[in-house]
Amino acid sequence: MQTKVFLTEDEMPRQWYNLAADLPSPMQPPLGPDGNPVSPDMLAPVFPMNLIEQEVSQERWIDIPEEVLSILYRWRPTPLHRAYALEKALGTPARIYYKNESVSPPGSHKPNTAVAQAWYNKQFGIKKLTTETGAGQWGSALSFACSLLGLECKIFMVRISFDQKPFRKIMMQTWGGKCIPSPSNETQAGRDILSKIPDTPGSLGIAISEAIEAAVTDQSGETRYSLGSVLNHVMLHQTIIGLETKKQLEKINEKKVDVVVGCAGGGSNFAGLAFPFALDKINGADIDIIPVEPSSCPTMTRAPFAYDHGDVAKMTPLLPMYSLGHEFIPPPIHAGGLRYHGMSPLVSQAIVEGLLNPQAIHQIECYESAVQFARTEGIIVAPETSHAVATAIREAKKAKEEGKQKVILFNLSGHGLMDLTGYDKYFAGELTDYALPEDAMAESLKSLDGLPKPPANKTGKW
Amino acid sequence: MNINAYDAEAIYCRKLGHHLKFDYCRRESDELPCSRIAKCWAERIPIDDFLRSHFSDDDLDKIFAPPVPKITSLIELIQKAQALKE
Repeated sequence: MQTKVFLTEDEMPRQWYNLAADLPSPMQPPLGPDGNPVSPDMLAPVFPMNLIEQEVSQERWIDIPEEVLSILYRWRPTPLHRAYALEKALGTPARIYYKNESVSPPGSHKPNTAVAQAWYNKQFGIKKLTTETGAGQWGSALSFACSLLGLECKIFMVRISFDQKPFRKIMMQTWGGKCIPSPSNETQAGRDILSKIPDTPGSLGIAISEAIEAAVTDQSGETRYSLGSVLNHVMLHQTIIGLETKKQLEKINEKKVDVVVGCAGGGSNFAGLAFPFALDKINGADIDIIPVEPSSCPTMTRAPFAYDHGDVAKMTPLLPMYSLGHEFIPPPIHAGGLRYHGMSPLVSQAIVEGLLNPQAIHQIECYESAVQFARTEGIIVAPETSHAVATAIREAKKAKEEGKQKVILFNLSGHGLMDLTGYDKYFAGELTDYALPEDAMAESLKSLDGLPKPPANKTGKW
Repeated sequence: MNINAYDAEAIYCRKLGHHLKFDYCRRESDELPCSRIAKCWAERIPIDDFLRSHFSDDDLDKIFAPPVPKITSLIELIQKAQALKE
């Protein structure tokens, strides 16, 4: 009975997988205010051209540089676990596997792209990266990566988070990142706010403005900005998760996966596990691939696919993605990573095509499942990861009802040891479930009326 | 209703990933409330009354302007920063 499946470093994948090459229907391009596609040079002030090339690439396989691999070896390949104890507790005939991305030094999947982005920036001659962070998960991952590659890293951390969340700030500092409370006096955006509101606690919006400004206005030209989710090149770097998993399953002669599950906020950890299996599905495999989101913030499961303006004045570019209407205000939910209004365009297009079957789940069921997982498998998962755990448990119970020996795989994207307050609230009975009522959704979607609708590019195969 | 009436109430913030008090939520966006304030607090306090008591219709329009998708907001911020540089 093998509980963990390992790969040697030699067995690690040597290429990332790019789903854009195999989507049976082409990606819709992001559009500018004039209705024309956004061009790569518009992103050049903040990203090096080698990453922009990946952002727009249609190549199926992209080589992972040896130097990137040599850094990933610090914690990769990550183990694939068989959840025997959970299976026993559920009494399910299903075989449940989880890919454990919580073993990275910062504790999540984020370093998979942080390391790659830092390396490509370094190759481009960049000496410093900037970014923003709230509680600090992404900031700590990028600090870690920059530390290993000898780059400077400046993180604009929202002032109130800087004051209230010391631990990830200390992680960033330990890895050599310069963590600055935002707003700061280092940027015009920061100074403008501070002159108006000296005691401002800051916001994520201000921190992003500062990080972008710091990169764009650096006179040396040796500074760029880094982003941890949503964009295509981020999804690409994360596919090492699913590619490793496929090799691990082969190693134990597990020939067919029935269900693949990942939580989806911006989409990167889900895409990382799922896209290599989506390729199998495109080639004829029968796999149910499930991105999971909070019931209270339905981006994929209830909203239509449409070009959605980014602002009231309708001046910002139009981007085709699964998105809620303008008036929607997301309700509360304890999942720090699941907070993007829009989903990754690649994930969105795969949903349109029918390759993915998104589901939504309530937070109390998530915490119930996370606690059951902790008490059987032993790992306390991150709040956003609990969505994947809950869906895997649902699927295992369904397999039991159907008497089927399904193979269920999910991504354990991060541990929750820095985010225990949500568990505390759950145990105290302070959490509530909230689902957007149909009439509220209908009202929200009125704002999409009159906007251009992208052609429904799909083959109808799935 | 005093604007400070609920300042000590705490909630988990999805944007930042940790707990915060209401006094942050009501001034998160340049002294205006966070765009998520209504949904986050609807089940805890009379948030609609609070907002209508302390903010004008223009303010409310600003507060509930739509969130901007990541790539579009990046381009917008790049253009602003380039203008500064020039």
